[in-house]
Amino acid sequence: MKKFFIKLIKMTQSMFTLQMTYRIGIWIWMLNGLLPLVTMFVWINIANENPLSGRTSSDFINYFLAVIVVGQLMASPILSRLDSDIRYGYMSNKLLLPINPYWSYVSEKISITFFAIPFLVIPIAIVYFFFGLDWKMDLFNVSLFFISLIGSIILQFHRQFSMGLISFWSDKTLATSRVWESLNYILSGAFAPIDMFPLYLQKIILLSPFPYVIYFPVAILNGNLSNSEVFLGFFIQYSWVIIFVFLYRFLWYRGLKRYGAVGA
Amino acid sequence: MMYFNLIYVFIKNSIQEELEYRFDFFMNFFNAVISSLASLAVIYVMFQNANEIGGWTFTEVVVLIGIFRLIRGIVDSIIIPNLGQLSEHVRQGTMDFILLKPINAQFYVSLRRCRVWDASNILIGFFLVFVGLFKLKLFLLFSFILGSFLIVLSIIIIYSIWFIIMSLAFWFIDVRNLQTILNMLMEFGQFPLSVYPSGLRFLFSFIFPIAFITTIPASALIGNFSIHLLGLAGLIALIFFISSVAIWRMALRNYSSASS
Amino acid sequence: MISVNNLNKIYKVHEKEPGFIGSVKSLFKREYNSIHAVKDISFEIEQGEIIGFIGNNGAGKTTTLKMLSGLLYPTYGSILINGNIPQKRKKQFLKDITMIMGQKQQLSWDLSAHDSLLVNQAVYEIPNDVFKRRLRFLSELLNIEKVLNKQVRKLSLGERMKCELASALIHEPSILFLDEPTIGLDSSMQKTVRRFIKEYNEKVNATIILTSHYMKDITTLSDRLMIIEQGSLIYDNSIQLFGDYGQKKEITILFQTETKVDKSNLFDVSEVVYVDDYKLKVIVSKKNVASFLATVIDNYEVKDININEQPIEKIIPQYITKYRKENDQVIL
Repeated sequence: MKKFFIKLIKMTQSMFTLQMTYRIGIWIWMLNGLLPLVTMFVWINIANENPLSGRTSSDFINYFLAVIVVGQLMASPILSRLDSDIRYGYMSNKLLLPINPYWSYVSEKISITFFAIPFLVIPIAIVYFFFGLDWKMDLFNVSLFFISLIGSIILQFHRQFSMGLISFWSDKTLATSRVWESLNYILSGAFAPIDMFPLYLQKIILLSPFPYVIYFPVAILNGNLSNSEVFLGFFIQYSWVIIFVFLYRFLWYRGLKRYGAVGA
Repeated sequence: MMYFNLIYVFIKNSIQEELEYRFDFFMNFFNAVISSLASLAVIYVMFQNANEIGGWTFTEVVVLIGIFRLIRGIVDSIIIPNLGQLSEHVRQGTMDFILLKPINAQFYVSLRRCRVWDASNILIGFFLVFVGLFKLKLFLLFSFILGSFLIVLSIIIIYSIWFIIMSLAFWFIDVRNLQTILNMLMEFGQFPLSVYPSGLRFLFSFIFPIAFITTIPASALIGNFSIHLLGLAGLIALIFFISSVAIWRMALRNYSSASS
Repeated sequence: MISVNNLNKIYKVHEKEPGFIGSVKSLFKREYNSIHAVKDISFEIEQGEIIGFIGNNGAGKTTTLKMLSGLLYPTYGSILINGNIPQKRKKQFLKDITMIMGQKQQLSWDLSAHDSLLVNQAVYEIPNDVFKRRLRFLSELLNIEKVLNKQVRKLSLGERMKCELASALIHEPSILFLDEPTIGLDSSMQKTVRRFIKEYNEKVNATIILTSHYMKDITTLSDRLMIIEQGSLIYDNSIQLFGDYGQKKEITILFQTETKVDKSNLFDVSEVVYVDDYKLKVIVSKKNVASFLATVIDNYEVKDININEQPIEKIIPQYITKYRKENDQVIL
C-alpha cells in the first residue's frame, strides 16, 4: 500500500514536470472554465431590476463564482488523452509499466489540478474584495460541500474515462463527447441555476448525472438546498458514482481485449 | 474572374476531401442542433423569470442567437480550417510553397479549404433568424437588406480579428492556443450588448467588437437601426480589414528576412 | 537567363539571455549578432543549364535558393531572372519557376494528387486541354497513372515524391529549384527521379538548379558545378574540369604472377583500397605517382596499370578543406 502511494506520487511529480513545459497552453485551455461568466452577466442584469426567486445580483455573483471554482476542479484532458492513446497506440507504453494505466490518468488529473490554483484564487479574491463573499461557510456546510465535491470529481473523472474508452470501438469519441458537453451546458447548472427551471423539469434533471458535477456542490456552498434535498442529492450523486465506476471497469476490460486483438 | 474560379475549385476540392468523412455530417448536425437547443433552453429559463433582457424580448433574442450561430458556422467551417493552419505552414515551412504561387497569398491561406460538414450552424442560424422574424411578423425589405449588409461586415470583422491573431504565428510560431480565447470571447455575442456592464460594453464594441458581429446586425433585422451605427460598423470593418492586410505584410517582411 | 551580381545576405540574429529575466532585458536592450550567410556571390546561368549546387549544411545553399526564388530579400546585390527581380513576385515570374523541397510536401494529405493538381490548374490558370496534355506527359514519364487518384496518405514515399514532382511542374516552369529532390528515396527510385529530371530538362529546355547530398544526382545530371562554402562561391565551372582539382589518384595494378606485396615498400601510398595475389588498388598523392610507379615496376612483374581521377564525391571535401585552410591563413 505504501509502495503504491510512493509510485503514485512519483508519477504525479513527473506528470507535473511534463505539464509545466506546456503551462501556457494549459492555462489558456483553462480559460474555457470562465465561460459561465457570459450568462452570469445576463442573470445579474435581470436580477438588477427585481430579485429572481429570492436571488439578488450579488447572489448570482456568488453562485457563478462557485461554478467557476468547482468547474476548474472538474477540468481534465483525460478524454482526449485516452482517445489519442488508444487510437495511435500510445497505450502500449502505459500497459508495459508495472502499474495499471488507470493510475497514470489519475496522476495526470491530480497534477493538472495544481494548474487550476490561479483560477481558484484570483476569482475568489476579486469577489471577496469587490462584491463580498457570501458563501455558507459553517463547518457543517463546508464538510457537506467537500463530500459533494469529492463525489463530483470522482463522477466526472469516471464519466470522462468511460467515454474516452469508446475509442476502443470507434473514432467518433470526441464528437460524442461534444454532444455530452452541449447537454452539460444546460443541465449541469453552470449557465442557469437548476432551481430557476420550471418545477417539473427540475425533478427530471435532478435524476440525471449532469447536475451532480457542478450544480450540487455549488448549491450546497451557496446554501440553496434544504437538508432533505442535500441528503437525497448525496444518494443520487453517489449512485451515479458507483454506476460510472462500474461502467469504466466494464469498458476497460472489454476494450483491452480488443486492443490486444488489433495488435496496435 | 480568376479568383471566382479559384473559389469554385477550392470548394469542389474541399467537398471531395470531406466525402471521406460523410458520417461526420450527421454527428456535426446533431451536435449543432443539441447545442442550439441548449442555448435556447438557457434563454427560455431566463425568460421564465423576466419579460425582457437588456431591452430585448424572447423572440428578438432568438434572432440574435440565429445570427450568432450563423457567424459561428462560418468561423468553424471557413475561418478556423484555414487560419488555424497558419501556424503549421510557418512551422513546417510549407508557407514557402504558398508564397511561390502566382496568386495573392492572403487569399490563398484564407480560403483554400472549407469544412463543409461544420457548416450545420449556418443552416440552423438561418432557420432561427427566419423563425424569429416570422414570429415578429417583421418583413421589412429595407431592414432585411441592411441586416444582410451588416452580416457581411460582421464576417469581415471576425475574419480580420482571427487573421491578425493567427498572423502572430510568424513571430511566435505556435499560436493555435489563442483560438481558445477567441472562441470564448465570441460566446459573449449570444446576448445583446446592453446586458453587459459598461467596461465590457466598450471592450465588445471597439477592441473585440462582438457587438458589431452579432448585436448590431440582429437589431437591424428586427427594425432598430440608425445610420450612425451603419457608418460605425462600416468604419470598424474597414479598420480591422486594413489592419489585417498591414499585419500580413509585416509578417511576410519578417518571414522573408528571417533565417531559413 | 539568370544573372546574379554581388549577392549578399546578412542575418541579424537577436541574442537573448535565457529565462524570464533575459526576456525582460531584451525588451529594453537588444543585442544583435550578424551572420554573413551569403558573401558576394556572382554568376550567370544560361537557359537549359543544369547546375549542381553543392555545399555543407549551413554553407548558404538554401539561403541562396530562397533569394533566387524571391522568398528572401538580399541584404545587397542583385538578381535578375529572365529580366525579372524575383522579390517583386510578378505573376509572370512566379508562373515561370518552381521549387521542390524534398523534406517538405505540398500535396494535401487527404486528397488524391489529381485533386491537388486541379487546384494548381486554377492557380496557374492553365487551360483544360493544355492541362490534360501536360498531365498525360508527366504521368507517363513518371509512371504514376495508377496512383494519381489514390489518397496521398496511402502512397509510398517514392510515389508521393513523383506526385510532388508532377504537381510542381504542371505549369511547365522553365526554371526549377530542386532542393534535395531525392532525399530518403531508395536507389531505384532515385534513378527514376534523375531520369525524369533529365527528360524534363531536354523537353522544356529548363534551367535547373539542383542541390543534393547524393553526388550521383549531381554527376549524372549536371554539366556545371557550383560549390558554396561559408557563404562564398568557391568553385563555379564545368564538372569535368573539377576532376583536375583532385590531389590524389586511384591506381590499379595487375600482376603477372602470384605476388605477395610487401607493404613496407609502398611508403608513397596514402591508402590501400584492395589487395590480393594478383591485384593492388591504392590511392596515391599526385606528386607521389611517379615515384610510386617506379617502385612498383622495379620490384614486381606488372601486367597492367590503370590510373584514374578519384570520384567527385572524394574530391569535394578535399577541395573545401583546402579552401578553409587558405581562408584561415588570410584571416591570421
